[in-house]
Amino acid sequence: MTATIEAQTPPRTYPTQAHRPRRNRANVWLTLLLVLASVFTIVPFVAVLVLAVSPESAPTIPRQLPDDVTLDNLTAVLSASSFLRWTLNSVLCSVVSVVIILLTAAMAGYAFARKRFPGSTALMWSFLATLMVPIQATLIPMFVLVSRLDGVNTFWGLIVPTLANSQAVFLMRQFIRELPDELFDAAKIDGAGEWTVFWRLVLPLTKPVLATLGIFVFLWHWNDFLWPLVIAQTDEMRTLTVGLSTLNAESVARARIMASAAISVVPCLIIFGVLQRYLVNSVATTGLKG
Amino acid sequence: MRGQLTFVAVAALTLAACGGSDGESTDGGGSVTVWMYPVVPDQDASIEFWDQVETDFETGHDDIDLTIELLPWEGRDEKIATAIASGEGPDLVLLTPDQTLQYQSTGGLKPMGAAVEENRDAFLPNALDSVTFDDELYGVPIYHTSTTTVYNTEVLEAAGISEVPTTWDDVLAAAPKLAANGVAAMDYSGSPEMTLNLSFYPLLWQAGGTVFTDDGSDVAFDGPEGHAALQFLVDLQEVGGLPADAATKPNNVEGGPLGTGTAAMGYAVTAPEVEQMKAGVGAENVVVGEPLSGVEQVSFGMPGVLSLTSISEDEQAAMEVAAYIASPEVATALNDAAGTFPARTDVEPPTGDEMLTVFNDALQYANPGEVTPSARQVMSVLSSNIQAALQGSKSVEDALADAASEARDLIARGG
Amino acid sequence: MTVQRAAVQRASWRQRARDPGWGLLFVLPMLVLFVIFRFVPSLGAVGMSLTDYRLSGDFSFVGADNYVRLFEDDLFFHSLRVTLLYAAICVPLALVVALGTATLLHHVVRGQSVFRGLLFLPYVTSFVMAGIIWTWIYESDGLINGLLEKLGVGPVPFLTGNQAMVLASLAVVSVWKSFGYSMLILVAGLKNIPEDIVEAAKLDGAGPCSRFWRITIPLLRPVIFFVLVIETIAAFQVFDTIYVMTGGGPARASYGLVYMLYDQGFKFFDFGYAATVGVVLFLVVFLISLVQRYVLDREKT
Repeated sequence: MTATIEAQTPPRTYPTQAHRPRRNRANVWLTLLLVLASVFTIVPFVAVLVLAVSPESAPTIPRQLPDDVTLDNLTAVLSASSFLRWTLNSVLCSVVSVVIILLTAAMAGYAFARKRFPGSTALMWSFLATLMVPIQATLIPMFVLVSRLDGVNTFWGLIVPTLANSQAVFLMRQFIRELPDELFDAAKIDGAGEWTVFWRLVLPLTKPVLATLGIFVFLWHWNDFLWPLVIAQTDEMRTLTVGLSTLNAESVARARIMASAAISVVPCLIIFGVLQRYLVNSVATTGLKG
Repeated sequence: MRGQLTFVAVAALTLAACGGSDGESTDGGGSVTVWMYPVVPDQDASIEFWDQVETDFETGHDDIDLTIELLPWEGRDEKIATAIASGEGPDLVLLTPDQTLQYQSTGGLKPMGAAVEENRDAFLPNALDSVTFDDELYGVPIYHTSTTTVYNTEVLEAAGISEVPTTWDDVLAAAPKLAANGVAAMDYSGSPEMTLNLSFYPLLWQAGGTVFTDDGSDVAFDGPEGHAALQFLVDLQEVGGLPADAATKPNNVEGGPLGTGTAAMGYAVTAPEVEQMKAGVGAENVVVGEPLSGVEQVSFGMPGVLSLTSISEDEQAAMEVAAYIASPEVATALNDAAGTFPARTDVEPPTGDEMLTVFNDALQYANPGEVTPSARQVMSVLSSNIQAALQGSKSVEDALADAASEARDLIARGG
Repeated sequence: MTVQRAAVQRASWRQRARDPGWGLLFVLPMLVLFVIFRFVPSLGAVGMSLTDYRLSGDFSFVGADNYVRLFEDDLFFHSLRVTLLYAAICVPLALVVALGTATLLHHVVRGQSVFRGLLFLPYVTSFVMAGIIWTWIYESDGLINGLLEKLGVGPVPFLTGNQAMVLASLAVVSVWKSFGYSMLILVAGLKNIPEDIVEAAKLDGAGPCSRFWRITIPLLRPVIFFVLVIETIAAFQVFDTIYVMTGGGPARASYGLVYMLYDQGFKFFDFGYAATVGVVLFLVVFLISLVQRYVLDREKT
């Protein structure tokens, strides 16, 4: 009766453990397929790395590692005078975006999934509909709007317009919808308030989705080029992607571009590596379905 | 933990909303912002150069605050469009003649004849003409590009060709011998993103033709000259004189046919590209020559101009800045740093490398491109049809006829 | 017992009465952001499509002229065909690859995080980078053709051949770059499938294939719907890879709708017409996702 919400949450199970008995044969084939798939995704990256450390005059089709591996391209990119500033801007933008979007999207997703209010379906679909308008069509109206609000060349102008993220909302809604009703009913019985239900029931239960979403939001913002380009009027406001492109003279060596690419990829890999383990802790909902 | 994160986020956002530099605003007199691009190839050198220009100018004009922002080539059109549309942007921006017309015709620029009043004659007449619309000048040329032919003497000699090909006939004659060695006689880039000013149009001009009629009201590339030019390419391709992927390849020298010794010559090559070629095949094997001749001897070369935007608030100051950057002192320094050429006759051409003299001489044959309101769309249409012709899916006649009819529709609609 | 049930019922009733208020409250932050930064600009774009908007800001209302012009424009229909063909190749491919890799990941225990990381790697690049890398791979003396040459097979014109070949090559690049996203979402979805249902099926003697089709897929339906919608939208809005790899060519073989939008707007400065293309593109995608919804996202019973 007075069981806390946490006690209601079922114990963690690891679904994969159940597969152990039949591991050997099937798993070998599956692992092999995974290796194949991984090779397919990796090879182009190896190419990027090879080109990034090639001297500028190397043929663009490297057949093997060039004899004169050079760090020149990488150092040229890293020693750009504003490199640190651009990176800080990108970090700030991406991290702030992740925090705000996770919170607001979870709230909105929860509302769409479990709350009935007038117009909720229409609203959900109109959120999704904005995804269907290509950004090239709304770029000018959006920029003019932000400019009227004095947001050009400011941090809020850089970040806030990109926070309205339909995919995040939709994703949260789809997952929260699948959470069993019993959990929420039990919480009601316990007299839990609305915010408590959200904060201590929904959020913990959706951790894997939140972690996944966190990775994506970070990446989307880190790799964004068009909006940071038009919003920044001075060098100090540029993000890394925009800043790196200022290093490209009109006919820039492919090796140089690859070096830029290799460098800007590193933080994303770090973030993915850090957040990846949260994807492992799933909360299966066994034991409650009658 | 989440609570703490939220707090940090809110705090950061509040700080961020206040912070962030406002950039140079263009309201209030005496403040001018210029958007410049990496004309000077090396970024550090570029920053240094334009910083110096800023300092020198402000020393001489202490009532004007000048800021020169360096922007990337990428996303250039989006950036300028959003700036003009919203009213927040530069006073002066570096443009090509074609861009100048586009922005002028959509109301994005203001005339700036006053900036060159005193020494109009010092500028190359073609350069000024290319940015004069409705009898008003919309750009001040601050440099000029030049392209000409470049040859790989090593592969030419290996094929037993002792004299560099200087006319179309020469090229056609040399092609089979070079093809036997697996070398394309001439580099050609048919990628849709490539401007025809550097690929097809020079050939069209060399054939004695033009893209548009004199008054720009109709296209003229489907005349006999256009046929001759496209036929030249197709014939050349048939004897193995063009790179195999000529129809779709981009025009990078480094890593491309010119830079790896699989093409014997290029005909619309810039000075920095010649340097890349030297790095690729050895400086001793590279020779720069006069522009190629068909019926006429023509190459492409256009001015880079500073244009005054319609959102500029202090026109007087902006024009002073433009005049300063176009002045002989700055122009000379810019040409040195960027490898460009003078747009004025009272500026010494860059010396040093003998090759630069050749490029400078080629200026007299330079056609800055035909700038009309529908030039870009026509180029887009023609480009895809030329691709079709080079891929063999359309005959020369059909390609040009189709392109011409589509182009006429465009012009009729108002461009 | 009865008391408890009654209490639950009363609580539910009170809950339902409170729902609208709380629902709106929770949605509010996102809603505000959306209204200001998505709805308003979208309406702006629609507005632009009804004018002959010029950069300088002055424009005149031209009503449906742009739309009439669009529906008489051969180039529009060409780019629509290109986009539809591209989506028809890209979306199923993306779904199959994402579902396949997600399933593999779900069932392989050892080194799962390593594989997951490796498979996700391409997503970390930008479309422009992916385009540059794959242009090299596809080149007539690039990675693939270089290998094929060793096997004595002629060079395959990935980006320079006929339209189907070009679009398929481009689709592969898109899928390579972005399948990690759908894959991770499907992995999370697979993890949420209750283990006891799977166990029960095994006890009933259902083999792996049967389990997959009759339990996994149906239970994954909401997630699959999400992935399908996202992939469709992405396919219809493809631009960056095409811009970098083929420039819409050869001979406009890969000239998609967003490419036309971009050309009209930022190259030819006809923003009103560009906005028109944008609006029509939106309508097409919207209709398609309604169909997808009808098929896949019916309310749970």
